[in-house]
Amino acid sequence: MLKQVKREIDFSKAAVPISQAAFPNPFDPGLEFNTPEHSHWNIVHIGMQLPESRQIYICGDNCMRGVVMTAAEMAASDRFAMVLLQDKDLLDDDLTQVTLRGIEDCIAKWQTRPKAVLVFPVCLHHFMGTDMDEVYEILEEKYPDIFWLKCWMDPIMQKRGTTPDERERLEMTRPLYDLPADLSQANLIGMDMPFADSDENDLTALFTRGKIRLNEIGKCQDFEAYRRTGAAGLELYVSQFSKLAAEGLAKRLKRPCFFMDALWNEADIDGELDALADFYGWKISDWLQERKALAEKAIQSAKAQIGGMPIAIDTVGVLRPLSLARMLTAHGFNVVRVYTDGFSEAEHADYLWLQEHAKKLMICSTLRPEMRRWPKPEEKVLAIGPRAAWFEKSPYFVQMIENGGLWGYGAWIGLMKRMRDACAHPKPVKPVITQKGWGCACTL
Amino acid sequence: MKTVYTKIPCYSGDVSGAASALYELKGMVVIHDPSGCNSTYNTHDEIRWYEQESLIFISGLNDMDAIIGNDEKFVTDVVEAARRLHPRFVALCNSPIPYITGTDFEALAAMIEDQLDIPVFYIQTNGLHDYTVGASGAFAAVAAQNALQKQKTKPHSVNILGLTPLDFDAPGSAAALTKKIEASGWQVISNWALDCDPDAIFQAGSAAVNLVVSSTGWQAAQILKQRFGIPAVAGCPVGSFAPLVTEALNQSEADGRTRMPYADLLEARADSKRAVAVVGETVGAASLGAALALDLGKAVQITVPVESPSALCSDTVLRIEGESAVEARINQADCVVADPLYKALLKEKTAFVPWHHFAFSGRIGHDQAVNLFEDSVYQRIEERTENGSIK
Repeated sequence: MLKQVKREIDFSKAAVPISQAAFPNPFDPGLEFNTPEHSHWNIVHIGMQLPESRQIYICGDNCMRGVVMTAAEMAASDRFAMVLLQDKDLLDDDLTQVTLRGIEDCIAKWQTRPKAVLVFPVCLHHFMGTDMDEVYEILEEKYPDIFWLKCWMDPIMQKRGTTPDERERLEMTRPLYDLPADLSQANLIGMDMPFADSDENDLTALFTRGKIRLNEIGKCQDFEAYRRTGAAGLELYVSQFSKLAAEGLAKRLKRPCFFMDALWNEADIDGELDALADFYGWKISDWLQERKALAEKAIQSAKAQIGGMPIAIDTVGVLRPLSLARMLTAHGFNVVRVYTDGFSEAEHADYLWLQEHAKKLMICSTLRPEMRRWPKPEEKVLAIGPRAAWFEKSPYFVQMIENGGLWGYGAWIGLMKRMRDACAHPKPVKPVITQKGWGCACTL
Repeated sequence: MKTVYTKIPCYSGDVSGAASALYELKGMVVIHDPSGCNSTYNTHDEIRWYEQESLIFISGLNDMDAIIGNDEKFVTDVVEAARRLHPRFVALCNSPIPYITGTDFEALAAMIEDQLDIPVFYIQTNGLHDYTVGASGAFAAVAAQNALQKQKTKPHSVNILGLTPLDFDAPGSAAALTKKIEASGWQVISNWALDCDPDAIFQAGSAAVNLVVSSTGWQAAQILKQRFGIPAVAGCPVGSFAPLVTEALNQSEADGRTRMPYADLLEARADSKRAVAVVGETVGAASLGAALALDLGKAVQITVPVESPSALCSDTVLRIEGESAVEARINQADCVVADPLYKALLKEKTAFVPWHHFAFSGRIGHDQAVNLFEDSVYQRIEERTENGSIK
């Protein structure tokens, strides 16, 4: 073995000024690094939201380890079962039969029957030609009291198609009853973080004002109550990763569907709110002016406190990082880095704006292998999002995922409050950002 | 089906074992996998990821590259990363999809090595086995490296083989073990590989004996025996069992034979009532069990739920596969010493002594991890076992 020689790391393929960043893929694919930050939700966390459900996974040790420990860390082992695959199952047996027998054994071993079971075959099942249709046909006939959700844990397919969590979110809409439409309620589909209160989320404020109940899966007491949310007269989603689920449900139940994209700029927010107000027949112009004034005031207060402190943003913390970077830059904040591995088409205008108005803004990969050695900056940095906190090694950080329940001008108010708090109260990074599934129950 | 689990988790997988074993050796480990392996490893199977740098990556394999066999991308990406990051070596790990598509990793390693000025080798994993298999393969690959050569033997010296946080996650475990070995009059040449000096491994050929502290070091010990004639002793110096380990080291140095001092001891007490069950990795559990058998005068049965070389097992050190089989076996005992998550399998009347095992419960209870090489820590386990077994 050769001796290691200390050399400077070349980050030119891992961090580029936005003026040189290609759209929508600023970085070449290659080996992938994974940071110690784990705040985002995975398929286990997402599925556990379904009341009175359990999950069954069928895979090898290595893949199983991540999901079974996720369940254990969220004190939900009693809602989890597994069939560990071995070499002989692949080489000498029929994986369809192994899968079926394994699931049946899980049901037999559980002392009580779940109302619903989310089943997760894996990449291997695709490659071995497993007949999952046959498996579900038999399960549905043998266990008619159980609602079977046909999920996948197949990351090998996700780079060019539907991700496992997108498919899971869609499956989780299938139990909803097809009931007559009730316009006094609406469904928020596929959002892991509950919406913040009215003062930090315009949608919460408007639905409350309009006396419309906003159904969220995490607030349903039991499986039956969840199924009855099929009555909602409108489907709403704020994350592009929920598009498949929300639009699929809307199509099945013949409901209107609104994508309230979590954008940060005035024209975008105004446009989305106007469309929603039109649907419900709300008059919101006065309310909106008042709301904007409060938001501007919050921004000025935050700016007075934060000044020119460098700011870094990541895609775990916020759904639309370029949109946020633009809004902050336009208001005079010093955004220096955005941690993302790709851009969304929805942010193309923000990308172009930033290229012109924030030429020094760096776009940094989170996956490129060089990022293992990303240096600690010399100056104090305010990080928005846990992954930015890790790369910046900054105790001054806003801990949130998926926008933290914020939306619209309320999001301005909420974020400014959180940024000010992060600056005033540095906190230890490791215990916060290494927790899996931020917002879920955690035994650690 | 014995591979159905509804109460307890599985152990860390083979890929995690390989990465853990090589973590501190300044190489680069590449797992040919779509996603997940790296996150699972560094979240649940690795305590060093946050504070201590190591180059462990996945290839980000997608379906089309797997189907059409686009190995060129893998080779190119590994070479590019190695040229940027300058590791001492590159280790390649397999995962389920490349395994079933029959990817030739030996050939890939050769292709990559042709383009780099460092060793490149393959650790035989496939994601379907537990950590002991991957860690064993990784340590074996290190033992087989040409950079290790036979050197003049230093009397009363050992290599410690099979030391990873997956089995020894309590802070200070490596230091306490070293101190204990040195207190018994032996010198530690190298430690494979926790809180270690990777350069010291180049001197491994000068050791008189290899001390195998977990089954993950057994395969490497066989290779070092074959290459350099170094005999091995399998056992951890725990409590009253420690002097027997030292005695075995002395004997093996003298006669060149490999020994497992726990085996005879546990066998000798097998006839008395089976009062205590110890659950865990083969060598660690058997060593703890041997110490308890000596101190408490009771029969101790060892249940090994992980894969293990049959040479390390015996009538009292049994490899038991599957949740139901483990449940049936350990409930025969009056007292069980095991990771706290095994409590889910126990009848109410069975006394229980917690012994955290990172490869099983991961971060859950890591703050309760025990350093078995500290006598005071062992004594607490012994006292609790004695009190518990009276119930």
